[in-house]
Amino acid sequence: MRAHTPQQGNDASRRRSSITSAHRTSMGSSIPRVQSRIAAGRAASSNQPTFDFLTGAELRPGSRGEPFRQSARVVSGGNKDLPLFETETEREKRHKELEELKAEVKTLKYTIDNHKQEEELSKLRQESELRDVRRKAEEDFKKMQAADSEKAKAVRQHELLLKEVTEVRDAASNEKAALERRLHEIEDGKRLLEEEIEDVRSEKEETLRTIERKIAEIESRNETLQRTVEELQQDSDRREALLQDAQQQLSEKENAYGSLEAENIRLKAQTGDADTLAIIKRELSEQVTHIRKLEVNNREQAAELKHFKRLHKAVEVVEEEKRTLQRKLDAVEGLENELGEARIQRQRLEDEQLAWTGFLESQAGSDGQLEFDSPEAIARALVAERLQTASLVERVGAIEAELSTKDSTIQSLEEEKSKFSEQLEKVKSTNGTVTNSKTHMRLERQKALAIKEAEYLRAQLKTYDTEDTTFQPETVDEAKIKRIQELEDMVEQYRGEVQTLNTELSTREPLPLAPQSPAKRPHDDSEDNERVGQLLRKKRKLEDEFSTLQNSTKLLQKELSVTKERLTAASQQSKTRILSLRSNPTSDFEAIKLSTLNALRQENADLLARLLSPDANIESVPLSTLKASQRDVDDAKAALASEKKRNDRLMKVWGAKSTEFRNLVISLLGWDVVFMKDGKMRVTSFFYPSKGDDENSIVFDGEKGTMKISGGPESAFAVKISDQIKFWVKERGCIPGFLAALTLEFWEEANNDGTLRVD
Amino acid sequence: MSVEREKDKSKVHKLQLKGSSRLVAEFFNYSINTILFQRGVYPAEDFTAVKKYGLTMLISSDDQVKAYIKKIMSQLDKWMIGGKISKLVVVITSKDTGEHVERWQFDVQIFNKGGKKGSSKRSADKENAAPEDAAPTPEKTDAEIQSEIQSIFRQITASVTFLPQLEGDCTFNVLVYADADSDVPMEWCDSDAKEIKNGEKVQLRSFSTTNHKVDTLVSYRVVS
Repeated sequence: MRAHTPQQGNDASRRRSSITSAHRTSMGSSIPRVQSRIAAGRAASSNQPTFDFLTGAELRPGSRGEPFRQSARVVSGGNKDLPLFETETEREKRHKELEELKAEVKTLKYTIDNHKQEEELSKLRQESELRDVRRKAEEDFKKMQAADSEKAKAVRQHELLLKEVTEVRDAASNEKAALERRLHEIEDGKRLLEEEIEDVRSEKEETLRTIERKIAEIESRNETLQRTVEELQQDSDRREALLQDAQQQLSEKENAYGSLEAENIRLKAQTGDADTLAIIKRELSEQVTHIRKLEVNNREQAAELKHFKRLHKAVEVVEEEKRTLQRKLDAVEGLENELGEARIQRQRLEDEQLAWTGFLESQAGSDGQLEFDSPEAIARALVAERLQTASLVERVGAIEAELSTKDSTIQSLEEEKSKFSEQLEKVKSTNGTVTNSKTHMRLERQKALAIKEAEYLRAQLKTYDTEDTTFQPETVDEAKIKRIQELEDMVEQYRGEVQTLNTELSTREPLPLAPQSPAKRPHDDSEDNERVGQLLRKKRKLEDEFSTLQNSTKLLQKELSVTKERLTAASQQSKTRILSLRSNPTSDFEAIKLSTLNALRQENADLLARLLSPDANIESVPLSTLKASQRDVDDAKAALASEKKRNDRLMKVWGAKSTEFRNLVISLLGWDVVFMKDGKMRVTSFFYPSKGDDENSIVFDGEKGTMKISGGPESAFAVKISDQIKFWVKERGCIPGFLAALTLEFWEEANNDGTLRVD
Repeated sequence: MSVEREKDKSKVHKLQLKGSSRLVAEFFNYSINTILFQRGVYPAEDFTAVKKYGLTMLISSDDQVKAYIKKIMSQLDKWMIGGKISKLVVVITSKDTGEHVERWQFDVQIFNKGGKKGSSKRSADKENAAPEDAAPTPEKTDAEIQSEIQSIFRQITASVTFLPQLEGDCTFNVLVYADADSDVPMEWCDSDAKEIKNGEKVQLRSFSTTNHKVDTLVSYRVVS
């Protein structure tokens, strides 16, 4: 059962405790109380006197009717002994009844008293209970006051804490900002360092390359030196052999000299001949001088050899130098060749340029400025000119065609003309000469006659005039003069008309040539002609424009094609590069494939050779087969590794999920659940975690349906929760309720601990 | 004043370019991974899910593939900022036959290259070509760009329905079309275009930032 904790001031705990106490009263203590009441009742009933005051006999408890019966029986038994009268018996009977009634009243009175007693008893009890309750209430009230004060304290503390927390938070944010700043700085520094590293790496590579080159040079030099050293050694060996030969000769000579001396002594002893001795002596001295000479020679040669050796070394060095120089010279020669080529090319280009510039200068315009500044401009102009000429040629051709048609028409017209003139001539010769001249003559004659008549008439008139003037000077004068004048005018008119006719005639003579073609209607055509001419002019203008436009379009097209070409060339130059990483999956796979293929080929070839060879040993396989099988093993290993990887990945996913699930359980139920082998499960309360060696956990075995507490039934934890086990598990068999109760208990403890610690 | 403002502008532009480049490079990273997953180049359990662009993207957790993509990305970042990239291509190759069966091409267009490039190359056509280059690019919000990228990924995912089934094991390669004058590290080398002969081509969506426009195109071998 729960331990009651009256000293706890916490609100919740008080609530809890009140609940538990209520619970207890309802569940535990109330039941006994009812029992006790019943028992009291029973006791009360048993307290009733079992002795009958009237009869003196003992009354049997539990049956009320029996004492009456018994007493009745006793009475009737007494009556049997004394027979009485009817009345007496009646009276007796009545008396008996009265007695009975009195007894009954007595018993009733007794019971009433009894009940009264009981009531008083209960009243007393109630009063005592009331007192208890009042006391309790006072206690509660006190407790509440204490709790209120504590609560106020807690609130104050909470505020303080809040303040502290905000301060801490501010400080943390400041710190965080500072840290971030530092992080930025560090990142910057890192980037700088990385760049430096990159630089250093490139430098390193460069130096490595140079060092490698130097190493190669030095190695080659070393080789040559070794070779020369070997040669020198051979040389010295040869010389040493020579020297040995000479020494051997010398020793031989010495031997010979010794033998000769011995002979000499022998001879001396034998013969004692002076001559021979002298000869021998001479010979001997000769020999000695010869030997000396040889020795000197030998010494000289040795010295020389040393000298030569030294010299040889020097020579080697020099030769090495010479070789390097030779290499350089070769390079220089190559460079010179290149230079020459480049020079020639440059010369060529310069010549070309000079020619171009000369040409261009000669082409310079009248204002002294160059019309073209580059061959390209010339080429463009040339293309333009060419196009223009082409169009001009075209136009010339068209014009020529037109001309030829016109020529033909002219010719035909001329022919026509000549025909017409011939006709005219013919007509003139036939007609004009006869009729015209005749009429002319006649007219002339008429004219002459008329002039004569006129003159005659004038004379007549004059005579009239004179007559008039002489006879009647002022009467007829006016009318006559007028008449005369009119007549003269008429004559003049007539004459003029004749004149005009004449002129007309004369003009008529050449005119008939003009209207030769009957088809032409000169008067009608004049307007049309004008219009057509205008149109023609317009057309010609348009054609001109058209041709120039065509030229320009052609020029533009040409330019376009040229620029296109240039563009493609330029793009060819600056073509984008397609790049890929050297070690990409595709190439890696290709490499693997290739190597496998090669290995298989090798294996195949080896196997074939083994099969075809005469001493075929089928029992053993070539090495390549072994390698192939090793490769297979590697493949299998790789497959295994990938499978493992996959497994790991799945495990990772499963682990993540299970931790998620566990966290969920912890956050929802407050129990850290660990799944163990054999369907076992260990739960640890989140609010009462294991501390050090004391493991505060419960292990449930799902298969056996058992529950084990860590550290055995005697451990602190087991003792701590033994009450709950007894209450929930043993009495009610409800594990979830047990766990929930534990959670509640642990939570309270944990939280109380927290507040106490703050205090 | 005006000069200062110009300076500020150029700074802003630089920043934008950098951010845009990073965005595009990131897009490439995720698209390569998505293609590898969607086309089944690597087994599905090699991929882990990651939230990006408002979608659940799958990223390879294979160490080799991760290292390879990381190598490419680190270099790509540099090239993108330098504006050297014109295309990025993912080629899927059959392991059995060595044929190229699928080719995912991402064309990169860079706006406002700054005039320092290309002016010498096309001097004659410059005047004609100028207007379309100078087209004003309206500012886009991040959300718009993200939605564009999202739709591309949706399309890539959906393209599985019309692309032919890849037969047998396949492997992949990433090609980068860079300008000839770009710095190329030692581990990169020249490659052929790995074009698919007589392949069919499908143009997918495109997205654009303030500085870049990325077109997506998939070409694949037609199985007769």
